[in-house]
Amino acid sequence: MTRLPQPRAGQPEVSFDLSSTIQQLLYSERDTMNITEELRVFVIDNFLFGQADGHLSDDTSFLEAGIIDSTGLLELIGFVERQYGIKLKDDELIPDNLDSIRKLSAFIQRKIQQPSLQELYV
Amino acid sequence: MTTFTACPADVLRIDPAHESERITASIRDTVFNQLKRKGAVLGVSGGIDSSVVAYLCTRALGKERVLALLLPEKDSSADSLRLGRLVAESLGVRSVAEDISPILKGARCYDRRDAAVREMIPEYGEGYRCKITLPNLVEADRYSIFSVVVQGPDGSINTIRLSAAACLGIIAATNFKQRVRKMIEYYHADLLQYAVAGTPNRLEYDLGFFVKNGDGSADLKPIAHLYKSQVYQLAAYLGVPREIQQRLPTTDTYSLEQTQEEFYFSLPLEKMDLCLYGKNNKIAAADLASAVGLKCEQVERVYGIIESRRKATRYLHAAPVLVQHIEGH
Repeated sequence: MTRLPQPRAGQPEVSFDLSSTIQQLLYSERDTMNITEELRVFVIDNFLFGQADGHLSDDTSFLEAGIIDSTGLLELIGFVERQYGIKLKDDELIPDNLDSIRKLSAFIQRKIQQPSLQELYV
Repeated sequence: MTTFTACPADVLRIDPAHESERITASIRDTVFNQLKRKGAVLGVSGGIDSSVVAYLCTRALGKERVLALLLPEKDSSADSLRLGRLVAESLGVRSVAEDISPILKGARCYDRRDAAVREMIPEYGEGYRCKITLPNLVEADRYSIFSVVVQGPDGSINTIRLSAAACLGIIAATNFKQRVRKMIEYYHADLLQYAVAGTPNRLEYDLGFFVKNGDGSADLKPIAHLYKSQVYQLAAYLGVPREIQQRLPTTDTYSLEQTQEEFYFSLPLEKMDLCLYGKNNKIAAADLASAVGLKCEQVERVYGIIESRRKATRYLHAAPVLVQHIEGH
């Protein structure tokens, strides 16, 4: 994420971050289905060893199905951060955000569309 | 799920005399009759579990047939060697002390671990200490995601969530320690025709708190059926030195001291004991909660943690898989 320049004395405060605006425009063109599909491919390739077998729905719980263990979760977090240019905070690492393709896709969409002020200004 | 009206807090109380006799009889039968070995060798760390196993093996086999191995390395607490010697001297058994740091250095255990830490903290090096920790998994619905805690030479503390590569790198490198110790134990076992006694308690055996082919490997595991609090009851009965009985359980694996609670269990061991007992005996979370001093939803979380740990532990316990049965075995 581009660092936001600090306003010099007398200059108006910068009110938007150009790179994050461009990022939002780019990602708004990727609909939810694309992110969902990218996540599905990643999960199948990395945790189901390429064997989709039809048991992975968008709502399959990774925890309950035993698909992803604790180190697998770190791999998933690393993929999401690199692929979508977002930073996942520790308190965001909860099942409501990460535990299925659908939940994770929605979480990623929210992060992309509404980066926090800290993420804009860091 | 069975419903109890209440779970007595002293449900894990044992008759230590009876249990000691039962275990020593099992050790004698296993070592002499089943394995046809002349004695037992074990690693003694100065912790409660290895101390209790040393006392039980000595009772079962006689002090002439037990060898205590003291296997420190450069990250070990100095208390480990001192207390291990105390156990051997108290029992009158032979002991051999062997610093495994040179073997670990030769295998680049420390280099590999430090390189993995540097993926997250580039300045990590001489004068720094580290450990890995988990968040509290009982207080809220959280994932078991490791962080590394690093203490700099100036005493400053930095905690960073690990990447998958760094986490696996640290654990894989650190596992050398337990595997090298087991290698030394089996060297002495081969030399003396002894059996190797493992020292896991029930929590460790059941929930995978051991290294595959490291401390998870042994010929017999005399206290693997005992909850931690029961190990302490036996320790008091057997006369294990008081300082060992009162010592806080540590992993004694990382350069920064790490409790077992922060590495694995998220709960004080006595509460984890009761939760495991409740899970094993199908006690409803609501009935167990008051005995454990937790809320019902916290007990439910612990039950979930136990289930997921058991799934992960299957790999650690699994014997080699053969394509077909081999006759004669």
